[in-house]
Amino acid sequence: MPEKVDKAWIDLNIKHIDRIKSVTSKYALLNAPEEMDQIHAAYIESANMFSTSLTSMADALTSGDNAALQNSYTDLLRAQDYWNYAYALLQSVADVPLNGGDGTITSDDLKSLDKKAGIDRDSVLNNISKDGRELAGEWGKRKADGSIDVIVVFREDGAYEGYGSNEYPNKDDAMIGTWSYDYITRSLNIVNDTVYSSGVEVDVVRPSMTMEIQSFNGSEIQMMDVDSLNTFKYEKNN
Amino acid sequence: MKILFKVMILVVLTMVLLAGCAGIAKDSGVNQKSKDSEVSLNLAEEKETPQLTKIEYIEKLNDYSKEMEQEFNLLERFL
Repeated sequence: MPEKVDKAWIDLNIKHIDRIKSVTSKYALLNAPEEMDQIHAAYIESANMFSTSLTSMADALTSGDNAALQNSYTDLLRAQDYWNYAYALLQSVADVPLNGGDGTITSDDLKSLDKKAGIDRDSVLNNISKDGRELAGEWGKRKADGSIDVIVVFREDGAYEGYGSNEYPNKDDAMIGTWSYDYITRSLNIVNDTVYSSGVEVDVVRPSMTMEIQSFNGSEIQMMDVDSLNTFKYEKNN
Repeated sequence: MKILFKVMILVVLTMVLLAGCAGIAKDSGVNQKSKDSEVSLNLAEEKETPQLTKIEYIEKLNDYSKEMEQEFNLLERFL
């Protein structure tokens, strides 16, 4: 917000915010085909979140409450996550042209490119439940002898363990914490509570990590650390 | 704070562009324009409209995302 707030400036922006809200209100009025009920519900949820956050934003602009403006921004980001989720659902059942292009590039074209990098986002939508229970288990890299070198363990109770190569189940060099799955962003959120190095507890350098799951078929997973952009491909240890 | 608000608008614009990807189905061949450009919709009236086909529904999503994008562009202009 500018230091010297002009009422006309506020009114103009609120006017446009109201117009955006009027568009978001239209989603609930659509009589969507039954086959797209789930997608429509996701769009409506997102639209409602946008409407709520935009209302908060308009109020914050009017009152000049910067903290409230910050909160509305946070809410807006979450609404965007929901929007992206709805769009991901849509893409999973329809080939749609990408906006901003000349109409020749479609979502299926992008999926083909993604597959070359081992990315299959539809598999994540289709194979992982909202609670992420399919992710529970021991995951690691296959060794020359055919066994799995376990790197990460996602316990069903939400506990997480991370190991260095060929360390499992020795916890002398391990990270211990919790994990959860956010189906809206299709991300694994890992919280590192305790880290051991050579058997000694050390400071936790990265208290939390977010892994975007890029593909999943039950026995193989590919995920990307959203901070480092490193990609990890693991197999499940049966 | 103005910078924050600008960042917010950019983020939302990105969202709207993504949403815009929900365009007309590739095999559509139909060029139906949204009849809902006016804001004053009547809920009961709209509910009586026949169920949209998949292509029509995707077209509507595309129309709405374009409307939102347009308004966000206007919003940005005054910041």
